[in-house]
Amino acid sequence: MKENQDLNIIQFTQDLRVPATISKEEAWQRLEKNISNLSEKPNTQTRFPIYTFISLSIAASILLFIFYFALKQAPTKTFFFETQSSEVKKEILPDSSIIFLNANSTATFTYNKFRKKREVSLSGDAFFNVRKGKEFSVLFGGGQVNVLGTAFYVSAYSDRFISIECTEGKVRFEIDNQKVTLNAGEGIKSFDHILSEKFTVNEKDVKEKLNGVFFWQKISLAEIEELIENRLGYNVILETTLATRNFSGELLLTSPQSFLPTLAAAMNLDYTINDKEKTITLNAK
Amino acid sequence: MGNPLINHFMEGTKKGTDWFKTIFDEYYDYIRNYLFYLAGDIEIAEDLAQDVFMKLWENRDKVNESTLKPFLFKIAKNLFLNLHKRKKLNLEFVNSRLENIENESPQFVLEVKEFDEKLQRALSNLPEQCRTYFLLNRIDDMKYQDIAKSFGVSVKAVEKQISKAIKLLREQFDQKL
Repeated sequence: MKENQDLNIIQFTQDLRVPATISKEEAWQRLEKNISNLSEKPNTQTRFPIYTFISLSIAASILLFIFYFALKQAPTKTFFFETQSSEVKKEILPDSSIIFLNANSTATFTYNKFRKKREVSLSGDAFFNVRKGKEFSVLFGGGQVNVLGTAFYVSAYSDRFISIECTEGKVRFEIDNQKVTLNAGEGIKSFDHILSEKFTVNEKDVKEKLNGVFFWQKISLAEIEELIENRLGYNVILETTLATRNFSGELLLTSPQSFLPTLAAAMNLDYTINDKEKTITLNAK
Repeated sequence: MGNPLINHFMEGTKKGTDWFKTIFDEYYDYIRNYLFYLAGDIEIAEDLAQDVFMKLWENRDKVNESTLKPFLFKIAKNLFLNLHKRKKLNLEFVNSRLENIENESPQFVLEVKEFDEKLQRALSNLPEQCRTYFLLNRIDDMKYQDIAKSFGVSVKAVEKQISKAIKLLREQFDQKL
């Protein structure tokens, strides 16, 4: 009976079609008209290595100037930033707020809209240093953060595991209609839509994440699994019984080889890495 | 001869409107459908699909050819997040099976319709990642490997999400939606 039902679910799904209000040809004609109205495309993105936040803030002013003038000539609406694995980028927003985009992450904002309402969408990990002013929002799958002027770190690779850590000012965090306010030095996380208690964070540990170093007072192996899968693109095969076991300490999450020996030793686990299939297997010893 | 798109790039052709049209023809349906799976609203999906391709046009000289498809999916996801705050999804597909039912009893038609409504409600309730992977696989015929490449994840991760989707759908049907 159950097999028949599965069959029906799959068969029925294959019968579904996405509706359309315009044909593909009409969509192309609309697009063609829009691109013919565009002049030469602008250069809108600038990259910088990350060493110190102080020196970068000086560079930020110069970049902002270049960025602003590039934008002034541009009809572009939306800006898209992305990082690959083991890459960190700094991006300057039109209000001079700064995003440090951690590995394997993307951020976008719509320029015209941003001038009226400061909003950035994020998929992945990023540290934000927001210039004081009107409300600034970070949207991600599953929720959003609203601030006025502050510094905070958002981890939102997926809507399953979200973490917010505030290092300066105050942060309002909203997920699934639950609202939380974080003060400087406080963090909170949501896993499978269950919010944790607030925990203490310090600025140094938060900024170290941009170097791939993650420190937790307490994190479950299931949460680490989610982070690894999204950050490094490896599929983690974890025994169900291990999922709720907690780890405390520091891991360098730049490659499987960089953290697995430490994690395995601390949690008394055996591990295997298959780089070809991009899988990591963790078992109890 | 290989993929004509790759040949196009290999030949170093200038990325003009011919190049852009080729890309549009190849990827428009995937992107529009993916946006529909995210937003549950075809007008939003069609508008955002336009924005995705405009973004590609504006960045055509910077786009890495080997990651073109992941680039399009990432832009689509981010544009969606940027413009549309999270809300309860209500996917409304067209069901070709219902359209093609002929010479069947009204009771049978109603049963099919009821099943279709339950399925679409159950699909709307799936978490985003497993919903989109599952639908791209079942409706858009994207292979697991293709989905993995497009979203920068492993094939195992795609398998896991699609298995999860089937498991959750089955559970929702067991709960007699």
